[in-house]
Amino acid sequence: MFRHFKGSKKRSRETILRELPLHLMVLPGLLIILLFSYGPMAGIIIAFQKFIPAKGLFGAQKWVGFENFIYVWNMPDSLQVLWNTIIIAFFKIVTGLIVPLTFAILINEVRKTILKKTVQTLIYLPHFLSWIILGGILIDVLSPSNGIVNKALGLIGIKPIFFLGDNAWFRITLIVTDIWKGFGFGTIVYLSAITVIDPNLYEASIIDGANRWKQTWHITLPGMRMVIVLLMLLSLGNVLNAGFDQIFNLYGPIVYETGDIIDTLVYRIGLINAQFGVATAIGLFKSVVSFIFISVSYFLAYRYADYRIF
Amino acid sequence: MKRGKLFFTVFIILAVAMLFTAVGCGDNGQDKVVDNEQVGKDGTAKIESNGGAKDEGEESKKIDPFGKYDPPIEVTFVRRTDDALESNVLSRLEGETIDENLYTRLYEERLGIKARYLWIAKGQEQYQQKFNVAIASGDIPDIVNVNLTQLKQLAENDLIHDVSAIMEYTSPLCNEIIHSTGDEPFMAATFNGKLFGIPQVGSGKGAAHLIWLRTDWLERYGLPAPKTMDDLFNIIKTFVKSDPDGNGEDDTIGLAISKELWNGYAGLEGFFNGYHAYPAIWIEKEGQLVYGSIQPEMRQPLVKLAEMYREGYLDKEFAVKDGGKVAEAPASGRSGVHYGQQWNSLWPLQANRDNDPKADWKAFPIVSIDGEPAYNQIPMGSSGWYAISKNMKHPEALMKMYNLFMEKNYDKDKQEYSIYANNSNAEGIWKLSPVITGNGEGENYCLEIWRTIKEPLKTGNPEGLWGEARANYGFVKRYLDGDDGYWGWNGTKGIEGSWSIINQYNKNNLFLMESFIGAPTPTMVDKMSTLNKMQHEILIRIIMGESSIEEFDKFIIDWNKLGGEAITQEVNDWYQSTK
Amino acid sequence: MIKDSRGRKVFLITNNIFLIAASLLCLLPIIHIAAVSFSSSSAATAGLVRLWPVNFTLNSYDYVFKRVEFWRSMGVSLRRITLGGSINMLLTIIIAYPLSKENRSFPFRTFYVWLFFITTLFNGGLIPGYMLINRIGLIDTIWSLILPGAVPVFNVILLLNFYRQIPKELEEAAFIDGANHWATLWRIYVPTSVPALATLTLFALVGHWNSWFDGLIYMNRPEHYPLQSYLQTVVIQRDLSLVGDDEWKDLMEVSDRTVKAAQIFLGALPILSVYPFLQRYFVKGIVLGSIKG
Repeated sequence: MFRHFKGSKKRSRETILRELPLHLMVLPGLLIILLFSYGPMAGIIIAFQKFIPAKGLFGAQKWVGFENFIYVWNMPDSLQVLWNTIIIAFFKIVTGLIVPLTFAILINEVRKTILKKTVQTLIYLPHFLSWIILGGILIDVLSPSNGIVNKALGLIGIKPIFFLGDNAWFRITLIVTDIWKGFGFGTIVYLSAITVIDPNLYEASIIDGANRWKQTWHITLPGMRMVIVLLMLLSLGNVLNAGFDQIFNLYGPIVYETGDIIDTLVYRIGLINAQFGVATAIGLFKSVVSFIFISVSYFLAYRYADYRIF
Repeated sequence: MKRGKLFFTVFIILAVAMLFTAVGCGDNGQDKVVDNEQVGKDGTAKIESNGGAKDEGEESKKIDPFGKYDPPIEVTFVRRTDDALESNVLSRLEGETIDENLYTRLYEERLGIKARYLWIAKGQEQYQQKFNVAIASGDIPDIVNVNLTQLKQLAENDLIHDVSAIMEYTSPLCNEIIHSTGDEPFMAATFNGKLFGIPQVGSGKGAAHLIWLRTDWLERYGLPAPKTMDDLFNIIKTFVKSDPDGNGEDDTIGLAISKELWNGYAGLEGFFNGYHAYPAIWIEKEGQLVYGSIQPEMRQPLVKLAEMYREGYLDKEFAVKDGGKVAEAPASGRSGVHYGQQWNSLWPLQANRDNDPKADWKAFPIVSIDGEPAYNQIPMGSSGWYAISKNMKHPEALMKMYNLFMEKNYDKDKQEYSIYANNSNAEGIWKLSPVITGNGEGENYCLEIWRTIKEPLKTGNPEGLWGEARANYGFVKRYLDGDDGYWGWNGTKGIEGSWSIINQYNKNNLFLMESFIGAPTPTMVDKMSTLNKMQHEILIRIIMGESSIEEFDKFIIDWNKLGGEAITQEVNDWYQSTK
Repeated sequence: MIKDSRGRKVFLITNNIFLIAASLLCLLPIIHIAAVSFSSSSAATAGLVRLWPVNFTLNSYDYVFKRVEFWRSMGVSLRRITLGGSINMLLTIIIAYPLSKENRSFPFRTFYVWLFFITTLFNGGLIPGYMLINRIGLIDTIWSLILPGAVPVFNVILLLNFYRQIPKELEEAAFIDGANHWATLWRIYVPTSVPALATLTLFALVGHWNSWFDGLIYMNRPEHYPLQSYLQTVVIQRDLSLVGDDEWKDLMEVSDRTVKAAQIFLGALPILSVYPFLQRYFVKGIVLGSIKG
């Protein structure tokens, strides 16, 4: 560390002075995260303890090494649960990128301002309802006996489907309802990215005789490249987040096979006893996996596409 | 590359620095605690001079169950509140708050105890979360209400007092009441021969299952009250086939059940009990404790449920509906049979009555598959204990508060019930007390209320009624006088209400109490969630016909292999230790 | 503009229909909640309410309007989003600026960015967080809800990417005119990123409005709960197997679906109305305008 600063002596005083305001701008935020984010990170030690709240964080907790990790790994259904988590999370990430992007482009095509604004506002509504509420509504809507979805399917000759009680359908139902709840809100970033694109580009392309498809392909999408890649990369942090609130409010024993995920498993462990050690270990595991995914893609993007995300 | 290294170094240094800072905080905290203790000790001598301080080694130790501290002492608590407390009590009492109310004034004036809350959380789950977090950061209040798991942790870590000694301070009334539910609540809180918690008095009898039936439908189809399981199946069949709500749709649910399977409303405990099976509890068999869910008696009712599901006498979609969702069915007239606890007429059945004034329900005793009587599984009555922090210098203060609370709520001679327990404009005012001792005369408290108001309800003369009985009498009377909004009260505390059935159970001794009442064993903590998941999954699959009953045998083997055997061993070790 | 081709017209019409259908699909749950809130309690309990109130009544609103707890929590939430939102935005704007610089002109940026970014992936968990908040005396204050999340790292990263799209010429011109970093940020960067800032403001406000867990943990009195924490205690599912001797009274109290629905509906309204207001900043050409101006 010191050597580095010795080396940096070569940098002129002027450079340092010029950079100083930039450091100062970072400073307040830096202090806040050091205190409120890095400070509590010391608590990660809990992952390696048989943590008993009554002893206190710095009390004589029993150190168990990686036992908490091994404990979860050795649960009879841990592989199934891991697989469920990954597959649900993966499809949610993919659809969570594509659907909002598509909607942003489609909304951008609408000419009538009122319609455009109304659509934008309406699709963002479900984001504000909690899964507890939506869960109750979905059980009705998706009911095989009298739910509206199955009645509609019946009209075109499809037999009723038990969306929430059939292992073949449960994951698909999760992914679709998750999209339905979140796509409107996700659209907002893309819309704001479209507004930044220089209108001159469109005018120029029209003169070149490009139609809307070509404009979308050659101007709109490249213009949003930054946001698309950024969101894609950041969403990799969710590879192990399959959505606790949603699944917890929709699942039941009959779909444990396809719907039980890491977070619901930890929740049930916690029900028996406040097992902070196990919960922290799982959290740490998820963090490390996300970190690896994001870092690798960050460096790949940088090395092969010369593209720095942040 | 260089920058990468720098980044890494700085990060490590920062991380280590933060670690030390954090540890530093911890040390400071401990110093603080020590300081408090010093102060506490200084204060002790003065305070104790009144009641005869042990510290000074005076032989003439006087035990006064209502002795006042002079100067007053401050005692810290934590607590939870709920909606009923906020809207039925606090909002109706001008100027009263949780921190300042008739109970806090009472304890201060009579006992010289100033109650102070470190924090208050709303809701049971929130309370538990906050409790664990606060305890882990070293904030233990002087007196705290805990469950068995927490009690054991606090005791094992030497954070709470052995409370055996303070039992000397119990007043005669208090002594009578807290021992009225037997030794179990004390046994459960005893570790290594020391008592660490004072139980809240409660009874598990109110948790016994009953069969709830739509009686207006029974009458319509000329069906008698069920005496056997077959009677019950016949009732279910008739309801399902006859479209009793007359809407022309085949939408009547036979037996309403919820995905939780074990539930206070639309549960299946009563159904299994009818087959002499006792799921999800530990029962005694030939001197050993065994887990009810893996006993051979489970097979027959499971086969029957699968048959009922196949033939359409269960909701095809029950596997996705929790109790709250299932409750829509009776409320909208789509269900007329379920198993549940005595309060079901108040919720959710009252809604059925509100929608349809002709709807009527009654509770019936559970029926048995053979000639043998059916026993009702019930939990231990107490579910909360009060523990006292090691930092607390006056552990007996808890007992004094117990004494005073009981005097105000349950002393028939004092007749102060209507002020301190269920004030006429603030029902449930007793919840304001920092210490809540639970039911009066625990074991049969609610049952006794039903018995007491039975005659007055017949005669219409409430004279001599007091306390909760008087309040309950009023509610049922309002229904009898034509107020349908109180229909649910008649269904539970009325002459033929659900408590009349509990009374029958009681008279014939038809209860079977859970036999394992200790704190969760180590393997339970580790494995029980996995085992419960397995159990839940297989039972629902069998009922839905996705697995055959043969898989139940495999489940039993797996259950034992994946930790069940070890748990059974631990449970029996505990059982032997209590003998 | 060139005249629309036939295919283009067909596309526009189909597109409009599709978008309207999608919007309606998103509108339904809100309508359902509203319908429940205006229905009689018994009809709601029976699950009879779909998209139109059954036995129309204002009882639940009457009840909610009289509930001190609801309004008090609403007040806490409003305070929280005003304070928290402004702090979030201020920090986002000033932190994103240095971090948007090229490595050449600000070599430390990569280090800083990763330092910030790591906080989004790793956290110490509940107990250490609580201890810290407790030790520095923020417990039971509004600051415990604002300071720990004062730097919205995700927003910072988004904004620094938007900043990078701003033409370098603008900045250079400003420096030639003698402006310093601070002045450049406020005179060039902020005005040119209005759509992005509008988006991020929305994110910051919604984030503060919707979070409930910190309120439950860091507040020592229910009176200090922000609205979503309060609602959480209202909508949470009860464990019916554990209903004790007196708890069913609470069950009756909170299981009233119309009251729940009314509170959810009223609780969502303030934040729902933010977006339509921010929409006017989503106008194409703002960037261009500021370059020309």
